[in-house]
Amino acid sequence: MIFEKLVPEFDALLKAFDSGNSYLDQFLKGRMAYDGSIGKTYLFLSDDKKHIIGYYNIGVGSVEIIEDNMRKKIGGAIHINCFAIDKKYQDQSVLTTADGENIHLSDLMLFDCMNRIKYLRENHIGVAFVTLNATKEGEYFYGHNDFEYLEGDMDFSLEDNDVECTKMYLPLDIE
Amino acid sequence: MNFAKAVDKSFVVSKNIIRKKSESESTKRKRAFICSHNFSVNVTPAGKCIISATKR
Repeated sequence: MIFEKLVPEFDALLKAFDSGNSYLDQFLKGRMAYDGSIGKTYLFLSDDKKHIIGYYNIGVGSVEIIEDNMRKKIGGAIHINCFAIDKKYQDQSVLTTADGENIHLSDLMLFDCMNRIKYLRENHIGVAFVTLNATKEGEYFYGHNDFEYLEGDMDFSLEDNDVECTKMYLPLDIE
Repeated sequence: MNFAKAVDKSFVVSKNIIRKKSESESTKRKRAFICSHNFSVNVTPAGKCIISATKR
C-alpha cells in the first residue's frame, strides 16, 4: 500500500483520474493540488505506481462556538479539503475481516490520512479536531468512521465550493 | 489589558466543549485489522483493482 506526497513525477498519471466529482478531479489536475496555502496532497498509488487509486488533501482550520452572537475559537483543526477514490475502483476490492467488517479502499486511505494527522499532532502542531465538508455521497462513509455533524452552536468556515456540503468533525481526544 | 486572564477564559471554554468521545466498535475492529496486516494494491490490465492482505 503506497501513499506518497504529490510531486511532478506523478503528473502524467493525473489526467486519468476520475472520481465522478468534477470539483475534486479539477482540484487534483489543476494547480490547487500543489498550492501550499491550501494544503498538501497525498496520492494513494497502486504498488507499481502506475495508477492513482485516490488522493486526499489536508490543510488547517479551526472550530468555533457561537456564544452571545460572537464566534469564539474552541480548537484548531486539520481540515480534510479533498478526499476521493477513482470511481473505477470505488465499489471494488472489498476485504472482509473475520468479524465481518468490510474494508474498502476508502478505509485504507482514511486510515493513512488519520495516521498522518496523528503524527502531525504528536510531533508538530497541536489540534483538537479533524474537520471536513462531506458531499451527500460521503456523509455515510464519514459517519461510519466516527465523524459527527456539528452541534448547533458550533461552526467552521466554508469555501465557495463547499456550500452544498455538510460540515462534519471528529474530536481527536477519543477514548 | 490582562492577557493572562483572556487566555485562561478561552481555555475554560475549550475544556467544556472538547469532551472525550468513544471510538466505535466498528472503527476499532477495522483499525485492528489494518494495523495487523500488510496490504498490496494492484490494478489488472482490465482495470480491476485487487487488494490482498497478509498478516504481519
